[in-house]
Order: sequence, then structure tokens, then C-alpha cells
Amino acid sequence: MAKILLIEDDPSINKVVSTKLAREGFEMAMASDGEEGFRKIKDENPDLIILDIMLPKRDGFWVLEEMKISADIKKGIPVIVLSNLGQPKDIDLAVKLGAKDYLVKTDFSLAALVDKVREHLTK
Amino acid sequence: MIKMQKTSQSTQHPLSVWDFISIVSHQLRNPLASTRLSLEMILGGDLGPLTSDQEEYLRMLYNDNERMIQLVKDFLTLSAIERGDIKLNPQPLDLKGLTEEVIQELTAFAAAHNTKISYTAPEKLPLVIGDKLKLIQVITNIIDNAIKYTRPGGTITITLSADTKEIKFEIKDKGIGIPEKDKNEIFTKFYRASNAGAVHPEGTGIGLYIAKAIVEKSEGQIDFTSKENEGSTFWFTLPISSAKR
Repeated sequence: MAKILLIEDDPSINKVVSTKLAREGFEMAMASDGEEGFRKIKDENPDLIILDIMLPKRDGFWVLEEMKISADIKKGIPVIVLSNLGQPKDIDLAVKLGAKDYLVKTDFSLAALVDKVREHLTK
Repeated sequence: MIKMQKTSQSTQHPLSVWDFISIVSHQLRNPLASTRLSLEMILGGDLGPLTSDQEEYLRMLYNDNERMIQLVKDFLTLSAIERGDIKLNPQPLDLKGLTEEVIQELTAFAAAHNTKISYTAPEKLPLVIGDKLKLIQVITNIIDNAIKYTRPGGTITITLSADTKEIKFEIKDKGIGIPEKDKNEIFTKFYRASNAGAVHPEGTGIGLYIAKAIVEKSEGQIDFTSKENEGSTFWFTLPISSAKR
């Protein structure tokens, strides 16, 4: 069973996304700020990460940067960004830092997210 | 321009009303997104079966939430335009696919207004150059307007066509039309035609302003013809991409 780490500080989005993915058969791990998220990438060893950008303590861009430079993190874990920021400059930066996909929070459906997760896990 | 002062002592930059609108709109995105996702789960049957009454009311909530999301997007785009900060991410796009996606999204809204959508497009169309999310916003605003200002029982007709340089999106309604005296102002921010309020009192008057800004920034053109009490035809064009399908 693939393990997904959801790094998201909004409790409602956290609940609905994690419940849906758990029902689809994925094992879920959760973090609600950037520092906790980065720690859990090391501790939980997820197969895929869903990452918000505007997070307490450290933001999602910081998490992406640390994933790139940190020696004790497995490389190549796919990251799907889930953010309120929808400007091209935010999307470009996230992709430049290694994100595989970028979804704007008011523009995606749960069904589309599940499809994206499956797509990146089989790549 | 109206200026507001940030309360924080550490930042002395005046906060414009557009900055303020942008901040508020961003803050609204999380609750709107979680409402949308929760309703999607419930309506999808993930939390158990629904009675037909429950489903009807939840669909109504879902559609209303979608309208709030659209408003927030319009306000975010408007504030970006006004701050001179509108950025597009141009890429080769399938305008036909996008149009069909938006029609699908607006079918329930059209049905609620007892309006039919007729759609015609060639089987194959070349790709255009444009920003996907922003063009979805343009198409949504234009179809949304046609639905709102068409009398119940009416039909709106959407047609896509192409020549060697551009693709044309055209939408024809048999709605209330635009009075002659309002025609020069119809793309002006917050402007609403003098007969619009009687049909749709709560309109914002920003949809066409945003559509024009995005289409022109995408190197396309947008315009309309209209006759009061008979209906309007709005159209926009976008340049064809050199990328192959």
C-alpha cells in the first residue's frame, strides 16, 4: 500500500483530502506545518507528498528546497503542490524546485487529485 | 485611488484597495475549497447514500459555492489587472476541450435558468496560445452572462471556428440585448447596461472587463453585436499556436 504524506495546515482540507485518499486505499501520514512536514518526510518515508505552500513555521517552497539539498532524504519522491497561490511565478518556482504537479485549491476536484496521485505513483 | 494604511508598524507601505481585495479573496479560497471538496465527497456517495431531496439541496449548495469561487477568481484577477500585475502563462491549448469543460460545468446552472446550450465545433481544431486557467475564466464569464441574460426557455448557441491565423469563439443569445446608449461602455469596469439590473440585480459588472483584459493580453480580440430585446452575440479570437496537436 502506497504511503502519502499530506502537509497541509487547513484542518478542513486536511480532513477531506486524507479521508478520501484513505478510502481509495492509501496509507496516510499528516503534518500541519513546514518543519513537521520536513521531519515526517524523513521519518515516514512516504511514496508521494501532497504539499501546501502557505504553511506555518516554514513554507512549502522551503520544504521543496530542503528536499533537494538534504542528504538524508530519498530523492525522487513525487510532490504534488496544493495551494491557494495560482500566479505563474508561484507555479514556476515550485516546478523549478522539483514539484511534479501543481493544483490550485479552488480549481481541482477530489477525483482529479486521486487520478494525479495514481499517475505519479506509477511513473 | 482609495488608500488604506496597514496597521502593522513594521510596514509603512500604504495598502491599496486592490491589495486589500486580493488579500481577502486569497483568504476566502481555503474555506471555499474545503466546502467544494466536502460536498463532492458527500454527493459522490463516499459518506453513505442520500435521499433525492438531500441530493437536490446539496447540489444547490455545490452550485452556489461554485459561483462564490468564480466571484473570488474574478476579484483576484481584477485586483491583479488594477495593480498592473496580471501575469499569463501562455502555452499551446485545446480551446475546444476547454470550451466543452466549461459547458459541462455550467450545464446545471443553465438548467436552473431553464436555458439550453447548443454547441457546434469542427471535429478538429488547431491549438491556440493562451493561459489555461485565465481562459477558463473568460469562457465561464461569457457563457455565464449569456445564461443570466437569456429569458427562461431560451437557447444560447456557442460556435467555434478557425481560419489560418486564429480560432474564433462565438456565443449568441436571444436575451435582453444591450441598449444602444450602453454599447460603448459594456467592457468598462463595474459598468452594467441600463436594462441589466431588472433581470439580474446582483451582477458585479466585472466579467466582461476581465474577459477583455485577458483576451487582449493573449493577443486576441473581443467584441460583440447586440440589439435591445432581441439578443447579443459576443465573440473573441485567439492566435493559433505553431505547436502541432
